[in-house]
Formats: sequence, structure tokens, C-alpha cells
Amino acid sequence: MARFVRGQESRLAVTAERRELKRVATTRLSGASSEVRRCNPVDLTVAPFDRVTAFDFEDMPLTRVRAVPAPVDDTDW
Amino acid sequence: MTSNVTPIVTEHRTWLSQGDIFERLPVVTVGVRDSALAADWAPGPAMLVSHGCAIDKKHNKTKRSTCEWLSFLPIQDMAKLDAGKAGQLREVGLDRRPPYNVLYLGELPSIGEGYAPLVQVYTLPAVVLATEVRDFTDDETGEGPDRRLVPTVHDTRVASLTADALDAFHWKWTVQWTGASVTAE
Repeated sequence: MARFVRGQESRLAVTAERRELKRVATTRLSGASSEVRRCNPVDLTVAPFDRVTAFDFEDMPLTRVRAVPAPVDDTDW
Repeated sequence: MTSNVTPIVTEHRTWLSQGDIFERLPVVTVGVRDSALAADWAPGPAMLVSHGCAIDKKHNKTKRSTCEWLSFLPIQDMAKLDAGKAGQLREVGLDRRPPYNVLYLGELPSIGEGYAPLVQVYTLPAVVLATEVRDFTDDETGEGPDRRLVPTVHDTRVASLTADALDAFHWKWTVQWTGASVTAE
């Protein structure tokens, strides 16, 4: 059984956390289109204007409601 | 169809308004870099999405501005989309139909053809623009004399959404965040 010296366990925990972050990010991008993978918004090396956001044109069921103007918020929050 | 006939942007007003387009503002991003969580910002184009009532709200007694935060959407480059998807987005224009999570912005002065992803809203402290309240006359507002918020630094605005584009933004914003299709009475 492996034995840990002081501080090693926490470093291993940090490494595992980083590995998990990378796995999550990779999973998120694996289903994206090629242009989104190329310049996904989470890619910090890509300038904001050059990023691409995934979107689709499929309709979805919507709840139809009527709207009236919201009351004026005169509370001091 | 409104995409090819309805103007999307016009000149911005002096005071801050929902739909104002900035050529350069800090755009905040959180992502993964070298397997670690990282946050960053870079200058880029952005659209103000805070509502006018929230922007211009004043304290009841002091009449000083209560606006501490302003929310924005990053603007992204249509040229970076594949041609098919870009064509579809142009064809949808301001129509009330999918995609719900993106607003087409058309050709923007000094920026180029862009779109705004409605799911990437981020917030900056108003102090970034050193906002202050100024008096405006009836002639200036067209809605009676009023005190409104103006930026005193980093005012890189180049345009603002037209009334038609703001209507389209409100509809998409509501659909994206509530799933409801709202029709005003």
C-alpha cells in the first residue's frame, strides 16, 4: 500500500480536481461542432470577438403568456 | 420576415440605455487552462443588457444613483461561424423564432457583423464606466425632464439597438430564461 508523506495527499487531491476539470471540459466539447471546439467561449486563448457559441434552430414548446408592465420598484434596495 | 428590411442598430443616446453597443469593454471569461480552472478578461465588443429602470434608479431620499452593477453580453464575430449557420442566422434576423439563445446584430459600426449569445451574460461594477447622473431636458429625452446615468470613462459606444431590435431582444431574452413566449397587452 502506498504511503504518503505530509502534503502529498493534498497535492494528489488538487491533481485529481484538475484532472476532473479537464475531463468535464473535454466532455463538454466532444459533442460540439468543429467551429465551437475551435473557439469555444471557455477557451481563454481566443479573443472575445473571435469566439463561437453553439446554438440550434430547433423549435421548442413554449408557454404563451400575456404581459403587463411590472410595477415600479420604489424600494431602496 | 424582418431580417433584411428592419434596421437593427441606430445611434446611441448620451445616457446609458439597454441595447447600447460598446466597441471595447472588459469581457470576463471563466474556463479551463492547463487543466486548471482559470478566470480571465480581455477587451472586446459588448452589449448592455441592464434594463433602463435599473440603470436610472435613484435612492428615494438622496436622489443619488443606486446603480452599482451593469450587465453585458459579449458580441461575437459572424465570420467565425460556418457559412450555413451564419446564413440561417441572417435569415432569422429579428423574427420571433429559434435560435432562442442568440440575437443577430447585423453590421455594427467599427466592429463588423456580429451576434450576441444570450447565455453568456456577465456583470461589471458601474464604477468601470465611472457613471454619474446628469440632468436632461424634455427636448433631449422626449419623455419629460429626467436625471439619467452617463458613463464618464471608457465610453466606447458605437451604436444602440433600434426599438424593433429591442423588442426582439426582449422576446428572445424571456424565452431563453423562462421558456415563456410573452405578448404585451
